Amino acid sequence: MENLNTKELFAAKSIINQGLSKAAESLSFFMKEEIHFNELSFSINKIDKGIDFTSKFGTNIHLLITNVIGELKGVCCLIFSEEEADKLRHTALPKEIIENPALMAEMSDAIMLEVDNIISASVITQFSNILNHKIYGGVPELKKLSTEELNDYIHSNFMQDLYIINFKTQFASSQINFNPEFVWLFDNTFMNSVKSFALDNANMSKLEVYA
Amino acid sequence: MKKVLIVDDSLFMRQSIKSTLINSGKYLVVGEAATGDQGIELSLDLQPDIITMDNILPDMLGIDIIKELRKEEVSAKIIMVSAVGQENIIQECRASGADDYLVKPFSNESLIERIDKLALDLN
Repeated sequence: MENLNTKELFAAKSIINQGLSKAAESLSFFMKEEIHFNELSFSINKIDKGIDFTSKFGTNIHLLITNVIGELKGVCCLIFSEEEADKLRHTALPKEIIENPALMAEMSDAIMLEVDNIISASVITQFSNILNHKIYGGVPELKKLSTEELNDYIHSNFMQDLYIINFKTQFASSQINFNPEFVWLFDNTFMNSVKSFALDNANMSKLEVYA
Repeated sequence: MKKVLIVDDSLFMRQSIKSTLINSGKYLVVGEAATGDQGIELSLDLQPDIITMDNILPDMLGIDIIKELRKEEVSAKIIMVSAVGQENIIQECRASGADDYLVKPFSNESLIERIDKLALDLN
């Protein structure tokens, strides 16, 4: 597999950072406080079976999955511990829902799915606008798994040869203990698109403005 | 009171839009649809004044629903309410018959402000 040169790597990281900034803004909207993202881990290669996708421990980790559909093929996974998911629900849902057990039970997964829908779309919108591709996120899916099940699930469902680019970040808040993880996997259409993008100096100068 | 139909596969979003509209005291929510098929059926049956329309539904894209509704001569004002925020898609939706486009996430105030504008155009 051909790697990215320095210029292309700069472009890829800038584009991804731009997308993740928008995602952090959207998450801030729901959490009602400023959320930022930690340093990006980025790699291009087939992922080894032994790699863990989450550092969270427990039996009820919330894995939200959204497929990227259209001219770029990929998938994104938003990962919350049970405590983080509860924190988000209690911050984002209105009081009349939180205080009504029946409504709360009904909305508990619905809010997580909508948050994932909006956060993944924030990133997809940036990729689409910058790389000029028609892409959108599919209908999100929620799975509640143990640490081991989650890693197995991602490996067995998304680790075919198709997905060769992956990047991962962790959101963070300065006020509360809240660090959801965000993992993205793409096939080589993403890399090819970044390569074409980086060929054009006009594109690169726009990126420097974003960065 | 203007009649509103909400089309969105997200239970949370339907609930959130519905309570915002009801709390404003200005709108009557006449129906909710979670799929494109239901959205088309209810638009034809209930003849709402305003439709809020998600863009990604499990069975159809919102833009295709709008094309179908305009073909059926549904004259309701349609506001797309979607997390999809690409400029080219927003323009395509408008060209296909959407009257406005609101990108998620949004505040309750901005939703009411946009719906009010559409309601004014109906008068």
